[in-house]
Amino acid sequence: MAVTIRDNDPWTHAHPDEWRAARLARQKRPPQPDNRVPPPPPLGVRVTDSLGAPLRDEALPRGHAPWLCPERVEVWNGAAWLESAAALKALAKRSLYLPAAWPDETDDRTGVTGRLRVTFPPGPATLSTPVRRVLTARATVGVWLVDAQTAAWLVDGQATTAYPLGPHAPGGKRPPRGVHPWAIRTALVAPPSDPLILELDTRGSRFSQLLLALSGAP
Amino acid sequence: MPDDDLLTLLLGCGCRKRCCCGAPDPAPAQAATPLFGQAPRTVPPPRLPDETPFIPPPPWYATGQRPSDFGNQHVPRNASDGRPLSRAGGDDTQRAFTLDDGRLRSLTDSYTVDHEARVIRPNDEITGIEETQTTAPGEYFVTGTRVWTFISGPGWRVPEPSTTMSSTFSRTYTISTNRVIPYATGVETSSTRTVKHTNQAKLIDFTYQDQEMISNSVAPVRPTELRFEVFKDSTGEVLFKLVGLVNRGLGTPNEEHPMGLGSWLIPIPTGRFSGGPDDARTAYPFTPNQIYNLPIGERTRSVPIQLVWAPLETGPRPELRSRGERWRGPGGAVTVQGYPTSDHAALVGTDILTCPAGSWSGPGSWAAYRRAAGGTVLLIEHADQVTRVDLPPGPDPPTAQSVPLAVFLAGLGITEWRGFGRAGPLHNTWPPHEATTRDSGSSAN
Repeated sequence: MAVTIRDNDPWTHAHPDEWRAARLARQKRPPQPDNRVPPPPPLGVRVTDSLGAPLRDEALPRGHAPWLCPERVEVWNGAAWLESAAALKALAKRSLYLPAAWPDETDDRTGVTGRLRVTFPPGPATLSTPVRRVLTARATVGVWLVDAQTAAWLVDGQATTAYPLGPHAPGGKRPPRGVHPWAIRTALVAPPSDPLILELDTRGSRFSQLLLALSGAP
Repeated sequence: MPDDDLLTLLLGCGCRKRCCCGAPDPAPAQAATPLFGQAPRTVPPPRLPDETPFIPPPPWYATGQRPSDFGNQHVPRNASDGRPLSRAGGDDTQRAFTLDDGRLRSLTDSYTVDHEARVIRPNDEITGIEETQTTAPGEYFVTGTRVWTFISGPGWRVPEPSTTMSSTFSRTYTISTNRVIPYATGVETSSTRTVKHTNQAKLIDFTYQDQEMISNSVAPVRPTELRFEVFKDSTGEVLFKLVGLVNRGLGTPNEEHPMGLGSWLIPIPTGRFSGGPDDARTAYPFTPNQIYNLPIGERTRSVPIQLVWAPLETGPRPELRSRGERWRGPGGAVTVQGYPTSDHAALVGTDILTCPAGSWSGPGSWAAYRRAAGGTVLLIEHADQVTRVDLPPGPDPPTAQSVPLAVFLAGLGITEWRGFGRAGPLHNTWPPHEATTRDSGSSAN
């Protein structure tokens, strides 16, 4: 099991069990502010993901992030598609990726709901193999399909499989209320080097970020 | 009715809005006059929207999981306990690095990496070996080792060759050197040099002796003729034997008697020699079935036969690897000294990793990632310790802290440890986003 390691951020990485242990371990009175967060792991680093053996480095151009930001968002108002700069601003938030100088723009106070038509720019020209596209999003849980154990979002009218991420989201179950990061496996198959226009039906969820991953789903 | 008025006063109409009662809006109340000289009561500040009681804001959940898996098709997901789903992979033996435009360039050789000049320098490579055999006129030139070991075996008296002859066997190596692959283009440039190793032939004087004459009671008889028979079998090995024509005086005059058997391996260069039986000059140092006249002089031992001999071994191949700076980070802050390799995450042997916080020598492994507060973090595994080195970007001094490897693994929940992984030191952008560890089946050089 190969893992990836980054700096520990308790607000991002700490598991609920660790928060609980830190709460039980801290002194009752007076409250020490430093005791609120779980103690850091050794050397202040954290395992952030588990992965199969990295065969090599990612096939990303220099300074390119592994996502694509949307460049145009249209909102369905019941009769027509209307281009919305506010919706674009709400969705086109970057995630932390330091080699591409992408800061963490996590801010869930702005979001979009309803039917959206999102345009993504073309990716790097070298990624020309068609893959099943994966969206990286931040959204509230919304309608949860109990039988399919996933959110009920539609991309181009087709059902998707969404995996809630983050240390508070158990796999296969409805995550707790709130805004979660998601990996959405769509039914679209397209090469990442082509531009992509997709229609997203949020079905009651509120999306505050929508990025298109360059690597596809198996 | 006073009771109704009282109820209406206490309960109201069921609506908190004043307008629905039909009554006109009352005039705004006058500011309270100070009673007994007190100051008016201050109005509490309005609550911010996200502090509204009973309606907590939705919590935000962040993730540390990456959106991709180093170019493999992958969707990150959680296990049922909310931790990243454990996945195991095969092998990270694929030798490749990523160019600036995102293409993967595979490299099977060893190489050094210079992130300051943004180039990869592959090791020198032998592109061709040419063997040339120069026979001087009048010399029976023999190459090979096994003829020598046979001749110098028991039963033969061979002095150490000392006389140098003018025939030569030489091996010329064509070496591609100064190989440079820039990250920007991926086009390799190189130049060529040649190294020639030459073996000068030497004169071998040897005598032969009838093998049976040593052990048997038969009186040793000198052969009257000596024939040197050479033949080649299907595998290309050349066998030879010395056949003497002897007359032991037992009624069978002129019986042929083997004097010795042996073989040696003739090198068959693939490009130059087709291996056909007609190419006698290349395949056989002697003309097949060449008959040497026996010199008559001694009783049991021949007079010296002279061969011109050169070994095929021209010494070790030219040294292509040279120890030096095998990895260099931007600005030269982090360097690794050692031999060129294809696994730059491993610290083997006498490799030395040098950074402003100190030096660490192998064996071990190392990885790097971007520090959250800017700069670079190095993780160095060395001598059952894991050291974290922070290299801040500004004037802050570098820091180093160490924990035992067992504590590090237990704290991070890593169950199997094979060192830090190869991904990262070769990417077109350094330091990478995160450090990686090695998975099962990984092979270090």
